[in-house]
Amino acid sequence: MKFARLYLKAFGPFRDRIVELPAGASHGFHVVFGPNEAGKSTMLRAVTGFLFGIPERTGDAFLHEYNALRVGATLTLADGQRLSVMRRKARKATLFGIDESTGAEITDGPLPDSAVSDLLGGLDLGLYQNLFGLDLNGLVAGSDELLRGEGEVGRSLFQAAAGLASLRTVIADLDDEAAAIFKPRGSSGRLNRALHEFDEHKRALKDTTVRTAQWETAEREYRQAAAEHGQLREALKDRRSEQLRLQRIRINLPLLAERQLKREEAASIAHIPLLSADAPQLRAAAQERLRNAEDAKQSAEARLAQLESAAAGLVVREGLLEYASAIEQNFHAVDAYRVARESVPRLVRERADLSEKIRKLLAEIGAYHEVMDARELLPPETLLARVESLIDEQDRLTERDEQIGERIRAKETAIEQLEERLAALPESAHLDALEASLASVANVADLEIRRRKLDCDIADADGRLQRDTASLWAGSLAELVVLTVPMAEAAGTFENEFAALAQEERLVAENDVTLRRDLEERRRELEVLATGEIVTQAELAAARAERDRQWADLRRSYSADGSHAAAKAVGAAIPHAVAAAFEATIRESDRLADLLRADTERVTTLEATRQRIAAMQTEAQRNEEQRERLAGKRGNLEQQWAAVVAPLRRKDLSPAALRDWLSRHQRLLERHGEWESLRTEWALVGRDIARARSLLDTALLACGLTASTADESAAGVLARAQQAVNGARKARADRDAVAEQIRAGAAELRDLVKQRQQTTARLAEWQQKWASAVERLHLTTDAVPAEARTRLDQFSRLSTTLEALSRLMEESSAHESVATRFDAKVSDIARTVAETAQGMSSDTVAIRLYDALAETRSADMKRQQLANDLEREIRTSADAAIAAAQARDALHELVRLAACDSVDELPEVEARAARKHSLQHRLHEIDEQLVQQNARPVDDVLHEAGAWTLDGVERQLEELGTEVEVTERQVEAAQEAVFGAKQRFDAIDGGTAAAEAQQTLQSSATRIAKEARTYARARLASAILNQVVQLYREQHQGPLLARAAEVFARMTLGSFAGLTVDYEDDRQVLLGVRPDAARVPVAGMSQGTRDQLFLALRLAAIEQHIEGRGPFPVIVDDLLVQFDDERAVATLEVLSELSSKTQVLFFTHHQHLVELAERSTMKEKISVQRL
Amino acid sequence: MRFLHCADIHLDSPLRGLERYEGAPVDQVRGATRRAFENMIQCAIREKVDFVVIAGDLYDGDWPDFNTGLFFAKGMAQLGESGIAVYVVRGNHDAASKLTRSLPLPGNVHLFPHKAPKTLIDDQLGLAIHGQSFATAAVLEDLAAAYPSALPGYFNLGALHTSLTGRPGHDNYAPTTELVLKSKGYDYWALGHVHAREIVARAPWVVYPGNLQGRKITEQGAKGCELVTVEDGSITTESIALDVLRWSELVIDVAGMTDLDALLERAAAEVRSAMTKADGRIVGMRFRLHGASAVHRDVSAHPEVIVEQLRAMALDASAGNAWVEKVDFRVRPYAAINRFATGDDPVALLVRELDAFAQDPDKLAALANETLRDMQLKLPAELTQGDELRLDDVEVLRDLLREAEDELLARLAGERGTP
Repeated sequence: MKFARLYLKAFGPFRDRIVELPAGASHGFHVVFGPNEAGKSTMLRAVTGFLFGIPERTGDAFLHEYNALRVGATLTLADGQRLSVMRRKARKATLFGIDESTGAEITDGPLPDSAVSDLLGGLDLGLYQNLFGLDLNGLVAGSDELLRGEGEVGRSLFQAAAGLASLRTVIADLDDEAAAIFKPRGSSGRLNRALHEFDEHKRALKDTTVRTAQWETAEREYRQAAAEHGQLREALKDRRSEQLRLQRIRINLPLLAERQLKREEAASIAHIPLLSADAPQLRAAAQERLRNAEDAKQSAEARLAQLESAAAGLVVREGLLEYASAIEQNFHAVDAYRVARESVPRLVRERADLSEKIRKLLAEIGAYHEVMDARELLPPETLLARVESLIDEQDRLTERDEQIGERIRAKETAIEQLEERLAALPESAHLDALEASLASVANVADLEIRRRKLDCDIADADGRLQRDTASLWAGSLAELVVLTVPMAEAAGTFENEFAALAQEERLVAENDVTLRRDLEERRRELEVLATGEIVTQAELAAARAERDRQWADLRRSYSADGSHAAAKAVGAAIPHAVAAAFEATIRESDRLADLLRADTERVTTLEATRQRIAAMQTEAQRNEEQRERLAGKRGNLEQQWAAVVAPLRRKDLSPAALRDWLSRHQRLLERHGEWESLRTEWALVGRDIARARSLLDTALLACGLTASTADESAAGVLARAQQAVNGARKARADRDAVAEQIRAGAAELRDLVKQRQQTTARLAEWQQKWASAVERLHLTTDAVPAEARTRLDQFSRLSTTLEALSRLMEESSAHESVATRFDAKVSDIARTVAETAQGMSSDTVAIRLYDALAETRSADMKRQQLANDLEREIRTSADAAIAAAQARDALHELVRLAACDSVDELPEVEARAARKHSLQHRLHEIDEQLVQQNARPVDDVLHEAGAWTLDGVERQLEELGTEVEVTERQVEAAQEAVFGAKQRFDAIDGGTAAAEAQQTLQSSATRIAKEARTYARARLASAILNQVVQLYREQHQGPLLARAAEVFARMTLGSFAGLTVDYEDDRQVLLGVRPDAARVPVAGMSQGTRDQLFLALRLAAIEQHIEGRGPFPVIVDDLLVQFDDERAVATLEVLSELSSKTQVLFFTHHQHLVELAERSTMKEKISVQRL
Repeated sequence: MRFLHCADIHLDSPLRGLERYEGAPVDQVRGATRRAFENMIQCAIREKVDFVVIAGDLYDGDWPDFNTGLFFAKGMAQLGESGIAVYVVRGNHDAASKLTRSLPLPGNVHLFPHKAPKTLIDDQLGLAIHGQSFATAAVLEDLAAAYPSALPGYFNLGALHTSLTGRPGHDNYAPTTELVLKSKGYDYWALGHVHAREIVARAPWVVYPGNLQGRKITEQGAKGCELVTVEDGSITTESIALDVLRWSELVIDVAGMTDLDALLERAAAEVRSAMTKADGRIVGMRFRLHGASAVHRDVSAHPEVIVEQLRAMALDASAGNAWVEKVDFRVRPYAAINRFATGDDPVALLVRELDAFAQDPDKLAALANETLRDMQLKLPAELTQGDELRLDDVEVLRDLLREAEDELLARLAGERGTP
């Protein structure tokens, strides 16, 4: 496979760049040259990007968008077919075809990624670059590694063949990784530590795990300890209860003794009856009661006799008591009777007075009736009301009539005044025509303002146009307006051309400056490098030539003699000067060779710098030529430009200025247009103003006013007309207002006259009603209201007096009836109770009866009191008799209970019974105390005490005390044992410690497994890699070394004849072989030579890879910069040979390498691509 | 009638494969099997079930901490307080356990004997429950065959620890067939032993509830028990998730990925999805990276770094609730590796040589013995017998060889490996 063409469609700075890679007879040796910044490195990335995909993050997307990046190629395949493919930057479907003939992209048919990767044998970028790439860094690193590895053959070959920077590092990394995990005899590896932890976790698990047997033991121990504890507690309990029993007995013994004694005494008085404790008191009380009862009976009987004699002396009148209420009533009516009897004469007098008064009133009224008939004369109430009402009505009507008369007179005066005012007001003028025309000319003032504004605008525009014209054009405005001007596009075109030209000129100038600066720098470098002695190849060659020449001379002279002796003689005879000169020459050439060897690099740089200076000078020359060409081009362009701007009479216009000029010209034309439209508007406004003026004048004249004068403005005339119209309007309004007031006054007056007529009619009507009413009051019909009022008053007094007379007659008859009824009642009662009434007035009799009644009542009360006292005394006597009998009975009972014969014996019996009581009580107390103390029946206590004595009990208690103490200590110990066993048992509580330990152990095991796997992987990798390295050596050492030796010899220009392998400390190492068969170890080679050795090995390996995998493009990146020209040329030759087997892409940004290649003999084989 | 059917509680048995690392949710996962068991107890009480049937393997026989038994007994006592009876058959793991024999269990727990099947009757519920425990760890005869026929008029339930006709990954204990089970005329067969939930049949119901808590990556998905409701002769079952940590393998195809960021981004999405599915639980996750892409080189060159990055990402994406169990690298380069093998260059030679080792087990074993013997001598025996550390197993070595190949190729490509 090889590249026929690269399409740098969009990549880095490239856009649509096509790089042809023509193949000659060989696969092609393409030198791709790009000076700094020209994109050599970019192109290198484009090639790898095409082959392996454009990286996700790339620095080549500064000009194009990420997803726009494209790089393509036409490939020639092994079978001669061509494949054109474009790669885009994307995550998938990155490949699609290109039509090679048209270059068109076939985007609708993506190709699989394998379309390219398969062509590369599946290698990825890293492996590909390592196998088929050559670059300076790789070369230097590989070379250094050769030195460090001391040229060990296997590794050197493998490293070179695999393109590795350092195989040693790869293996060391693997071994380090393994060692970090596990050390067979150490403890710091991760796996070592994990194993240690695993053991710890295992121990922890064992410690926390509770076996079933453990639990069973714990349970059993707990149970046993608990049982033992229980037994001891029982024993202790028994001893303690025995202790208690004895203590109890000790307490009971004294009581039991007392009990015995008391019981014996009680038995001695068992026959005495057990009297109640209060028997003596009962007996004394009964005797006391008996004495009291007998005393009470005697005194009651004495009081009884006294009372009976008092009762016999009392007298009571029963009859009076029977009529007590009637007597009391009469007594209370005595005052009323006396009032009635005395008031009769006063009443008769008062009646006569009133009758006289009535008769007088009747005479006043003019009616001659009897007093008793006078009531008929009183007029009815309704008539009285009617007369009152009529009097009021007459008052109201009269007042109203007077008011209306007053208002009529006022109104008539007002109307007269208004008529006088109307006559004084002026008549209004008729200005209707003027008013009508005012509306149509109302805007005339605006029009005048507008015209003044237009005057200003036009003047401004005119001035500006003149100024613009002057700045643009040498002629008049009119000429300028019709002038034909160039197109703006022409200006753009010229501007671009000028700009392009200026750009080119600037580039040339910059280039020149850079070049001069670089040149200066190079020259300075050269000076520095040249300081001190510089030995060039040429100088060395010259020194050697001189040496050889002298030696030839010597030899010649030596050989010419022909004999050994002669030679000796000659030797002896060689003049000292000749020998010294020859020696000096030899020393000089050796010194130069040494210096050259030591200074190869400096010399190389010196040479390179010299060449670089030469190249720069050439380039400076080229720059000069460029500058001249550009000057000619500028002349041409300026001439063409002058022709374009000629009609504008402005030779100085640049293209940019022309664009500005054109835009200003365009603006001027626009302003000119605006100016013209302003003028047109000005004319129209003037016409409108004139028309308005003539209209106004016509109207003014028609209304008899003066027309406008020439110096009066249209707005002034309009204002004057407006004022006239306003004056006329006001006069008309004033007259209308006064006339209206007169009309209203007249209407009001008419209304008032009508009201007065109505009032008069109502007064007449009132007069009729009044006549009929007063007639009935015994007045004449013409009576005035005041008379009527007097008559009404008279009737009122008559009515009052009649009422008083009637009340007086009723009172008189009531008094008479009271006196009669009282006399009858008093005489009635007096007769019944046989009281003497003869010759006494009724009221006196009544009082006497009342007094007699009071006396009788007092006697009756006394009699009642005596009867009560008698009854009480009889009861007292009987009670006393009963009480005495009861007391005697009680005494008899006591005697019976005491079983004695008389009351006198009782005290003795009572004393003995009391003693018996006391004994029984004490015995009872003792029993109760015993029961309480022992909480059991007395019999049990007696039984328990048995035959115990106090001393015996004390002794026994002392022994028991000791026993209890011993047992208590035993119980305590057993309790602790139970507690401990229970704690052990409870500790097994279903906790998670063991489960967690198990989980931790599991995690630890997982870590061990992981680390062990990683370790195993690293160890296997390392072991296999070592095996492969040796295997590779075994399989490829021969051919690879043979080819590498050949290349090495060529690249070192015969300084080395080849390579060989030898043992050194059991290792096979690589050695360089000098033409004189001297062996040089890697450490003895210069850096440059070592670089070439590594390169030789790489090239040999690449050739071999190509044999194995078929042709792949070999990518060489600026490899030879550190080689001197001769070795560089030699290397280029080797590379060109390689190009007969596969395509070689040689990227460089060193011009002199290109030139070396172009100057060399393989010029035809190389195609140079300049970027 | 309602009851819970659970099995394979394996109380206190550890979760496998979880290496501890900074940030791993160690505390949240602690005692996972116990907490799952507690969840079951709570579920039984909450759902007011009439009884619970446990079809074997309460705990692991080879790991006899008596605390485990006591914890179990406490749980049983809790059920007893709620009036819930428990029927237990012993399985292969707890068959010979001395722990089970010594453990004082409350009265509500009924343990079936191992000499012959027994029928327990609850007249109040109308329940006849038949069962037989394992006498030894390896019972190879068909226990079900000897179970009595159904009792007429009762709801007949058979409790049995069995692998039926064999289930992958499970020892073939107490083998029997659906036909045998069917012939007994029971209404429900409560089976245990198989750790994945499976409704084997519905007429009659033959059910594996799966284990209560998955213990390794092969036991993925929700784990718990069956809540069975019997109503008017019809049976409905509902699976109740009780697990505390859920296992999940996140398979990530790296095809088309150009860099590690893409891989991490994708992995983060998978983690979030797994967390959502796990319903707030901790997730023990294994990343399985496969497919061919450009990230192959990165992944192969520094697998440990990738593991660290995935762990950190998982912590971040799960708010600390994910525990990365392992990262399984099965990533391949674009091109088939055997294409490298052509040619005479070192790369080709290396690939061929690795292939030669892979093809020749004796050669491989010799190499392993030579390079790894030092370490193997130090490894504890209980680990080398396990699955992970069988460095004498050809397949394991081939796996290692494959990884070594990736690593070597990456190193030979150097730092320039990534395009």
